[in-house]
Amino acid sequence: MEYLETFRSYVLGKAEKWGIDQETLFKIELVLEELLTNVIRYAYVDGGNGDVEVECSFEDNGRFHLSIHDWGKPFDPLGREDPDLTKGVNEREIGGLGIHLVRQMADQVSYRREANSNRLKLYFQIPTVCT
Amino acid sequence: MEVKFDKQGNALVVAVKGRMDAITAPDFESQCSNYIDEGHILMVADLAELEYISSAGLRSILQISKKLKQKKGQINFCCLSGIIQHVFTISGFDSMFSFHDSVAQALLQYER
Repeated sequence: MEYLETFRSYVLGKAEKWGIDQETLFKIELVLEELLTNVIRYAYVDGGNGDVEVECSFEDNGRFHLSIHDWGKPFDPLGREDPDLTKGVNEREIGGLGIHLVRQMADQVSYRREANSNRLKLYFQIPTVCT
Repeated sequence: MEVKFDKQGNALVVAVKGRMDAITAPDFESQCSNYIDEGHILMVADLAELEYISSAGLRSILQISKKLKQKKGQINFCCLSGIIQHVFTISGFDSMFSFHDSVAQALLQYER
């Protein structure tokens, strides 16, 4: 968990430099935290330490691209069911919210299992400013 | 993250400043939990200065509200900024809790 801040400041530093608006920055930050805490908690449960690689880029078509790559056990967040959001406080389950938020916040998410690794690619559409 | 507790009438106002993420949320949960154990079962969460919340923060809010419910207590919320309100809404929290524009309005709910 101590590495969360390193990844966060790297990605947000880049995004800010590219002039991305506050609301999209919030979405990027949230998605990054949800996915990294998932990797930290679940990907390497059997073996202790493991690697995770984070890449980001700003594309010509006005999209911010984030890629998260780990070599842990297979995990496709898109294959999970959304939590039941209509339940009351007592019945509501504690888990599953993180992935739900990721799917809501990113404009496009894709998952691929590649040679013993998980690769998630996410895209955020940057709103164009009307003048 | 900074959490301040302030007893107002029969309720406890919990003002949260900064970030509620995977690192800080457990601390919020344990502080609130201690107050519940001391018998404070009506809470108003003042989120005016909350800048960021992730599922870890939402989870601790849910845990706290479950604990309050067991003791026949309650938590309501006030002063959420646009993006924070959005996160609450897409998580389905808007149907579980009541939201108010000011601390005073939130406190009215507990007056009898």
